Amino acid sequence: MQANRVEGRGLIDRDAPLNFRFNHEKMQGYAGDTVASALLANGQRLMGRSFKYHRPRGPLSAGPEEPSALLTIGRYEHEDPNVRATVRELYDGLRARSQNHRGSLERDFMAVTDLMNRFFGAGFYYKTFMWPAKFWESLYEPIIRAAAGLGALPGDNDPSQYEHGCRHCDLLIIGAGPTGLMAALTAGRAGARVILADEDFLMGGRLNAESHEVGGMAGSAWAAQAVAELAAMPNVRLMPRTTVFGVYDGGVYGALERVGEHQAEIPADLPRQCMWKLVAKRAILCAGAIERSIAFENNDRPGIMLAGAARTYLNRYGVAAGKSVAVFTNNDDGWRTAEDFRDAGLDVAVVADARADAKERDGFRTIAGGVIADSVGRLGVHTATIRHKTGTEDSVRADLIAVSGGWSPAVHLTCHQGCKPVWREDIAAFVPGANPPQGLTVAGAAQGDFSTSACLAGGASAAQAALADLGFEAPAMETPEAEDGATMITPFWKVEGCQRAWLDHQNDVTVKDIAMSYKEGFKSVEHMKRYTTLGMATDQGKTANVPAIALMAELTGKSIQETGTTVFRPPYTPVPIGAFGGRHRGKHFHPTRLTPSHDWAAANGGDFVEAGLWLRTQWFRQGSEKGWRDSVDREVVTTRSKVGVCDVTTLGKIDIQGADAGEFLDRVYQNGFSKLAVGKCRYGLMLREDGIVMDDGTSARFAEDHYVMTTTTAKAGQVMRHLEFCRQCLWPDLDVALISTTEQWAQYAVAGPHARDLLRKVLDAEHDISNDALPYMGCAEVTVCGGVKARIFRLSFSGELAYEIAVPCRYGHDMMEVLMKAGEEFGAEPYGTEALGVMRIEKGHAAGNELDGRTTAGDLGMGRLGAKKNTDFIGKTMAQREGLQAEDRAVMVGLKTVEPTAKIGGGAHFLEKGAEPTLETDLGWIASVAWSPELNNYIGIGFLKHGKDRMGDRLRAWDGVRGTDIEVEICSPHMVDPEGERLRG
Amino acid sequence: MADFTLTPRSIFDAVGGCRVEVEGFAFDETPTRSLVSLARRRGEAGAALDAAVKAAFGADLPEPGRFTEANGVTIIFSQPGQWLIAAEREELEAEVRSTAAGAGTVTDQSDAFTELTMEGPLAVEVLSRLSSLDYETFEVGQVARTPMQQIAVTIARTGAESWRLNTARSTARDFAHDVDVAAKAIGARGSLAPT
Amino acid sequence: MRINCPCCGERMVEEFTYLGDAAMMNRPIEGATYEYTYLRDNPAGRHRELWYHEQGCRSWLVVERDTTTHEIFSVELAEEVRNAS
Repeated sequence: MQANRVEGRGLIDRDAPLNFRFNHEKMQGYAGDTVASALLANGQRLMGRSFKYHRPRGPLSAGPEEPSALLTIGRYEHEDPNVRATVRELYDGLRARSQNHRGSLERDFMAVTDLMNRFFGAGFYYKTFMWPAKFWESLYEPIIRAAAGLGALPGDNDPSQYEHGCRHCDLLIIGAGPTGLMAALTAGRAGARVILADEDFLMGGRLNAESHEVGGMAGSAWAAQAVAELAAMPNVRLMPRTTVFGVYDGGVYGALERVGEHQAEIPADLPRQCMWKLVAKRAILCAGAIERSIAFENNDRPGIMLAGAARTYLNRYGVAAGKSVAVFTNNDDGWRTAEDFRDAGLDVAVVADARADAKERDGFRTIAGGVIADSVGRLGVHTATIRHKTGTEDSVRADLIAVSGGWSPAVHLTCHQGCKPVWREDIAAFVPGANPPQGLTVAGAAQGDFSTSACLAGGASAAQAALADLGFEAPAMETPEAEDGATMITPFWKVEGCQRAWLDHQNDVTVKDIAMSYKEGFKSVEHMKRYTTLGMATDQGKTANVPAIALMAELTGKSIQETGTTVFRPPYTPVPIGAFGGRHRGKHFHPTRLTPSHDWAAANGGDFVEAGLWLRTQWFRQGSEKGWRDSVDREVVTTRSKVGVCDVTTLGKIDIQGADAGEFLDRVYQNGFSKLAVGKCRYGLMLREDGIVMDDGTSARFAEDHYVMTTTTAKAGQVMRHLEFCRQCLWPDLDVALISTTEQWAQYAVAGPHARDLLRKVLDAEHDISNDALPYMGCAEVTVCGGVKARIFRLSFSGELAYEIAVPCRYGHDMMEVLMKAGEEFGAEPYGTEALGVMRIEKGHAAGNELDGRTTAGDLGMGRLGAKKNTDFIGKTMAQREGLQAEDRAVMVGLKTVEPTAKIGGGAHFLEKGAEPTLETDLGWIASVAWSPELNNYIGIGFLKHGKDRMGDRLRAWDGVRGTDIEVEICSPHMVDPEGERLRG
Repeated sequence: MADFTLTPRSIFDAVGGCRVEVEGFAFDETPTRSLVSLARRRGEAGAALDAAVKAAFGADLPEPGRFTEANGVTIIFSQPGQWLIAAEREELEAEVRSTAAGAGTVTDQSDAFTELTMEGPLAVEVLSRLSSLDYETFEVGQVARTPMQQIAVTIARTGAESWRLNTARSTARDFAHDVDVAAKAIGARGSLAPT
Repeated sequence: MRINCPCCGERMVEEFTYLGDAAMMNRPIEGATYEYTYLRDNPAGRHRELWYHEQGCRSWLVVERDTTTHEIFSVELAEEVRNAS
């Protein structure tokens, strides 16, 4: 039963009824309704319980500023808590639930807190839960957490899709009320690229909510006509349901578009919301103004709302928010509510105009200089207590109290870059300050022009100014005829003597709390805000801030301008975290790089691990292998005894060419490369300018002026950036060009005693890879499999006889297959990064764990390379610093556990036997550990003070995190084949 | 002796291609062209490069942000002093090498990038969901390298409604997925909301 | 923030990687010193700093920016700045 619908009014579609449920009750509304207007139409004005005192609440507003009518919308994993009923569009099948009550909405057990309100004032928590301290975690916090908050998240993954997008324009117009529409018409007709964004689903702003005419027609009709004209312009983009929530540097605006949210069933591919970056050369803020209330006792009951909101429900939605209205105002605008209600045939019980000079108006019971002092009604107001100028009180039956304390321009976006609003005495409101964000101007009610006529003119002239800036010829605009009433206001913030009079409805902050804040010394607005939590709820105090500031100003005796506002930051209204995340979540949190053998590995038991953006195979599970160790041990044994193949495509590869390529490498590596023979590779250590190791890798020389550098997988991007810095910023005189070829080559390590035998089967016959023709650290350009170009490098990370063979990526998948087929007769197997890691630890090769941003070349046992070099290189001078050359620096050593199967962990610290674990007794740390199938022992690489002198010593590996303390023996890091006979074989 | 053969494969072969089609938009991989990077030598040596390239290919080395085309050869600006040259023939690397002799250095990049095309009136709209450039004012003949959903892409406008994109091979599947999702989301809007 | 790259035009700041004080271009001939490596100005106001257009044309840029307002006054290719000095 839509008992409160008013015939003949509203912009709803009465031919399109929509069924929905509130709690368990079935209701019906119309297309064009919000959830709040539909509920009010059904006579449901009680919509929730308040945050702290569990007071019954209904909507205070009819827009985005709503503090009270917050509902949980949707079901199951789609459940969306704390939704403002005043803006959520109604759809067929919508399910809404009220929040923050135990028991039913009507009989909330927690309402007992309201009776005990004397104890729960501002600062209650800070003062009460101080001691005993140990009660905090065990008692206080769980109780407070259980009681806190309004709605709750469903706890499931959000199944909705969120889109991201970016649009550009000459002029962004924020808000499509009279000001914004006029600005858009002006700029659109001039041919500028315009975006008109409005948070509402129906453009027009207050024109849809007021009864007065524009250009000789209903305001809403004029708006619809303007929107139609704009929609037909190819240079204008209309973005309804789009909230511009933030202003960022350089003309970038953040906006949230509700794409599928207003539909019963969101189609599978349709996003719920889209997060837009709007890039605008100029922008005009036409965000309008937000009405505020007046503080009187019990001013928060359902049925007490802003006077403008009561008009919105009546004029836009055809809903009488009450059958008998009492109006309480301090300005002319409040009277419009009385007039509209009377014109709609509804009862206007009384108009209390707080202004002492208020005039009696015909046909209304006017209380000039009077106020509404209190309200009565348990779950909704039914009586207003009138206090006359004389102080006498009487009661008036009214089921709707419409309050207007004046309008506050929506200055929020102008403040996002530090501009402070300015108080204007004549309109009793903050208006935007003098230095709004660059490129942004403000027009209409947002800058304090409240009459419709001034808004229309202001929109046109703001657009004309922006167009002139942008070099467009602005058309002359005729402002349509509209009301031009000066809205007279006399500031009036609170009724004398009120205590439990609400300012911030969402966080339950009352007049009493502001007084308390003042009394306890929290007098600046920033302190008051944090002490009382005023303005800190999801509505950010849109209706509460100005009255609270005014009250604090009264208490301190300062002016409102001196008192000032708190800082408004983005977002203007709540934005779901999911929208910020967009599609970057789960598997798509970041892009994934796949190596050319990825599909082969996936089909052959490969388990993958993320290495930067790459997916690399950790190991290949075979047959009945249970744990990963089974696979890894087998891969190591196979590689060391037969032959193994590992995809090393992920290593960074950089082509370095030019006459000065060798000189360039001499300067970026601590060891020399200009004298490296063509056809040879060399290991290089790259330092940072401060002398610490940045990265390592081999570089191969293919021609006098052509090197190919490899980097570690993890540092490839950073090294490229560093090399370009050196090339462009330090040595622009060197003839050298850089280009990454990581993506060009699929590269495989082939390692083990049969590596050469295997490769001989793959390489074309004319290429000799005997030990003489291609010795250790040699490289060559060859062909494979009948003429496919390839590169071969005789490199060994494993310590075995090993090669790396590179082919263009298009052949990468087949190359892996071919290597395995060719290796079948030798028992070849693929190996992953774990086996690679075991073998390099056995061999004592440093990797990422050792190059951890703290270690020097000396620490790694490679200091001599740089010390011998005469010419300058990055890091040379700073590496000579005393601290980096100190005798007692921890240097790289190998270690074995004394008990072979005692499992040690990376990160353990070296301690002498019997020593207490302290900073003073700490001798160093273990960087990498592995089970060595070759040595049948847990082994590791660590950094130990005076490490070179401690070979054979027994120390403890103390691990305070894992709680282990294991005896280890120090040895050379080169634990397998220390003389390197295998790799040179 | 090599008894094995290697078949060239696209990154999309194993996943059945990457075609995306919604009303007003189509996206697909193009047959692999040879792609070679050319860098101008620094100092006086590099000065001869422009004339050599023009003589050999009939196209100018383009200014920053542009590409040029002649006789089936495309030259794309890549970074100051560096270009990518694409053509549908295997000898391209050798041709560029001999053209650049002494004035430029050459690197084969044929396998590093996947070449893709977008067609249709909604391409601009799809692109606006992938990256932050202004594709409405993007000119035919213009080229840009920019991240699209975190993946670096070189994009060129080849016609009013046609675009050519080069993206790294290793992330090409993820990129195609992003295009697919963006295009379908726009398709699903239909007449719901103005695009 | 948007940076007007001399090669690519205006781009979102996400495409760029920040390094810091443009004084880092002036590496001493004899090798880096303590001052060069560690001591940098960090003014509140106009500052010349190095940015790398990593996701675009891979140019190192010298950007003059007000660190308090993020207003950008000039953007130049670092290589050209070096060659001019």
